[in-house]
Amino acid sequence: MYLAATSSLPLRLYQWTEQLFTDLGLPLWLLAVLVATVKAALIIGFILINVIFLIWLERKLGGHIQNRLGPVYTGPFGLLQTVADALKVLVKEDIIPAAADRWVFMAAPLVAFVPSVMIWLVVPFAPGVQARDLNIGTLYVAAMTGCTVPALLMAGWSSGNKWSLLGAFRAGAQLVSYEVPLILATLAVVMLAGSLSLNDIIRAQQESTWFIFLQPLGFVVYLISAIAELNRTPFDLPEAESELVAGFNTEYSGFRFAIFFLTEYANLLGSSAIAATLFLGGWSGPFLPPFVWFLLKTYLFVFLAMWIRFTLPRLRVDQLMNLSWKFLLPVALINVLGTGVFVAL
Amino acid sequence: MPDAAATVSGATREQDGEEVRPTAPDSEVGDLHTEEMMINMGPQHPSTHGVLRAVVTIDGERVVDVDSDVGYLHRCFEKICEKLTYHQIIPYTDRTDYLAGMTNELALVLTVEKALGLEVPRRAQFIRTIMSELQRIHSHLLWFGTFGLDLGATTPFLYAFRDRETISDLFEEITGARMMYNYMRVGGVRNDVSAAWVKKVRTFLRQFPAALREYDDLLTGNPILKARTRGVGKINARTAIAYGASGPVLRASGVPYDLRKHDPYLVYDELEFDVAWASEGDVLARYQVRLEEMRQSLRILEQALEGLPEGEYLGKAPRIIKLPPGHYYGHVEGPRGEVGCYIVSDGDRKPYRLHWRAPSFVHLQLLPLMARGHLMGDMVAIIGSIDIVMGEVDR
Amino acid sequence: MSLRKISSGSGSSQPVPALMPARVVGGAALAESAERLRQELPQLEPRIRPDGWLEIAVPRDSLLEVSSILRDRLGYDYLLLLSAVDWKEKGFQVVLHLQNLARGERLIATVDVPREDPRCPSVVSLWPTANWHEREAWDLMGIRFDGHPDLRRILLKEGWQGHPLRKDYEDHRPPRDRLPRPVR
Repeated sequence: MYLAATSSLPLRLYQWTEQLFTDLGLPLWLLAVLVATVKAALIIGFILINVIFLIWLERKLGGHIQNRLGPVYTGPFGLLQTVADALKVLVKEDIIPAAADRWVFMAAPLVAFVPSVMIWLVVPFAPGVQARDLNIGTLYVAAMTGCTVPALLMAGWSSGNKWSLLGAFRAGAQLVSYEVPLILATLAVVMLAGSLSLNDIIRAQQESTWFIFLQPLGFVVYLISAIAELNRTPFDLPEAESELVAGFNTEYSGFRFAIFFLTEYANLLGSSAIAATLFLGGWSGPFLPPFVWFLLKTYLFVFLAMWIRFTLPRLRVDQLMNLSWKFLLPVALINVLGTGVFVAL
Repeated sequence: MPDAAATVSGATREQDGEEVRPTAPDSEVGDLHTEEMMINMGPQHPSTHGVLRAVVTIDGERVVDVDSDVGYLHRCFEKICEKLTYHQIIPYTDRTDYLAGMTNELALVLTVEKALGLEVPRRAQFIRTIMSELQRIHSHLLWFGTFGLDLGATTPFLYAFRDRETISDLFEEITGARMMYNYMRVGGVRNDVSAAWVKKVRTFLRQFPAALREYDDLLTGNPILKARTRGVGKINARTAIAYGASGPVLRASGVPYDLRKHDPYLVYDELEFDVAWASEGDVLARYQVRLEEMRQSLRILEQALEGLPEGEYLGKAPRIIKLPPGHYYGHVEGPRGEVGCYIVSDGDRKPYRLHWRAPSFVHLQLLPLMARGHLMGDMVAIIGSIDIVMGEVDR
Repeated sequence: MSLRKISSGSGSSQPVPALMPARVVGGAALAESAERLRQELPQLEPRIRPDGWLEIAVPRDSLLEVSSILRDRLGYDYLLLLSAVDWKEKGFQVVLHLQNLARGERLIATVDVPREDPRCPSVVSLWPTANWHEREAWDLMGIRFDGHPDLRRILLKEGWQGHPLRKDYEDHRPPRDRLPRPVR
């Protein structure tokens, strides 16, 4: 099985369960299902805990950047604020507008949420701690991030609201445009590592150096495109509240809105983890345990994204497109070309 | 709003080379049939600065036409004034442009004083000048913050409010109110300012330039801001004059017209300051003119504090004010432009008719001209740049 | 006069203002501008007001004609305010406050409008800013401006009965129930 572990405890646990299954005469595919469920639960738990922390962090950081304190009252340092907010949102009425396309409207948040969890299938948390080491890991990640577009289009289209529609179209155009430089930046890393597997990419970085030093251009392109993919300021046009009220999620409330919110932060965390893996050597690092290194590097990207959000104004639609197609794409192509020459030498 | 789409708010546009905008592309692209969409921006919308309802016709994201629907905040200000004595009107003027109460009150009392031929003590004149300029900075700071919000930058808002808070406190200390001051009186002002208060203003004057530099670092120098505002919402001088624009909107279009210079009231004649102006007439020009005005206000404040004489703060005025029959027009340079007060008197204690010239009301007419051909995102920046206050538009 | 030019750095910046406004005139210059007015419009008698404004009474029928002379020949390019007053049995009065920015001359033009026929020519074609001012005057005072491109109510909602700023306006809406004052 792919569940490998540094410590032997999970392995022993697995062997014990396998023994139990054979003793009881249960089919082994049931065991596979059980293992997959446990993995999924662990990953979703990891995401939820981190998202709760992320939202708190964003508000706290934003507060301090903006001369405020951020949340302070709920729990120590306001740490329980997100929990309180989540509870509030969950008990709110789930409003489905009369003009909405009911089923599409209800499905959209879930369609958005699932790929944001799926990304984590291939993320290496520590040596051997990975749900599944796909040999096409990076390609899989690109495919999963691409799945957000239909969800946002569904949300905007089905709401029966013109603002939502505008937001959805913006989201569609933006995500598709920024996918291209994002993948090209990843491609350069893949060329250096010679593999699509994320584990191989980390190993390649352990052998040479972190790819951020070999790929500074690629890193910048990745960073900008990733923030655009995440719909965060300065690229938060799909939900630009001063222009489009709330963009594609204008009509969402209560639980469904919470899912969109959760997705946003899960995506932020996912993108940061991938970036840390691709450019900063993933879990590898001295002294500290690998999992701590992984978290540290991930949160470095998270911090960067938040810092940018609270500093910059928003771009305009045409400028956003220009940035992607006229600047990032050529730069990414040149970067790929240069990397090709470098690898050939 | 029966035929909002059909009417183009009757704007006759001056056509000259400078103002030709990209028109909407042909609505038939090959076999693909596209339509223009009408969208209601407001009255509940984060960026319409109150309850403006703009019926926007868009082609994709491009604004084809705008029709402003105002009146959601109409409170019969002028009708109410006909039933009030002049002193009773003063607090009502605070509520027209609720972000610039001081200058509004000033417009009223100056008109009444002019009609009566009343002398105002010098100390009162200086205090009024100080209050007007503090009000200008106060109002511009709010504009700065909300303009940042319109462009999607959330941080400038809180920085601006940090400094605005200081001025609010200064106002509160003298007038007892942070927004609705009811401070000006016919013949002077309601309360005297203390030496301690003057000292606090001086401290503010010392600290504020650093804050302005901070704003420049945060927003003015930002390439995204420049890219989003340059060449957007352009209005040339001829159009601005024809549409009766005043204040920063007119000055940013290349007409350095400032009532403090051109029809001096209070003690502006004796103070040294520059009229900030720019020739581009776009959103960026209006932005920079307002920032520069804050710097000039600091200069005025410094001199006014220096020259603040001792003496009476409230001169002798008749207890019962009856304006001689006739009509009177008085105006001051408010933060948003020319605030005018037109009083018709029949000799009674109450005005026979009072008409308020609200700069925002006049400027809002320019919105379709500025916005046509630009994108939805620009629309928000343009509304922010003309700095409307709906309380004043609807009265 | 000290000016501070701010350049936002684009190419079209001009070193001098498009129009240099003058300080408002008074005294002898005022008499001079009254004289100029008299020459262009001999049929009107300009009055010099003590507050530095000129005042003319324009007959309703010749308003457009006079206005175009005011704007094109005398340079009154800036309409500050268009207002309307209800003088009860003496009819209405439309009041225009005009300014010649380049010379600093200011003028009040009044137009008498009879009560039984509250119509007045629109000056939107000359000063576009009059558009909303005239809509407001129509809305609140009930004066019809002939030739206005879009004479709708502006502050009140469509279908409002009457024009509130008229002195004889009566609110026809049914009175609302007053909430009883809470008794302690």
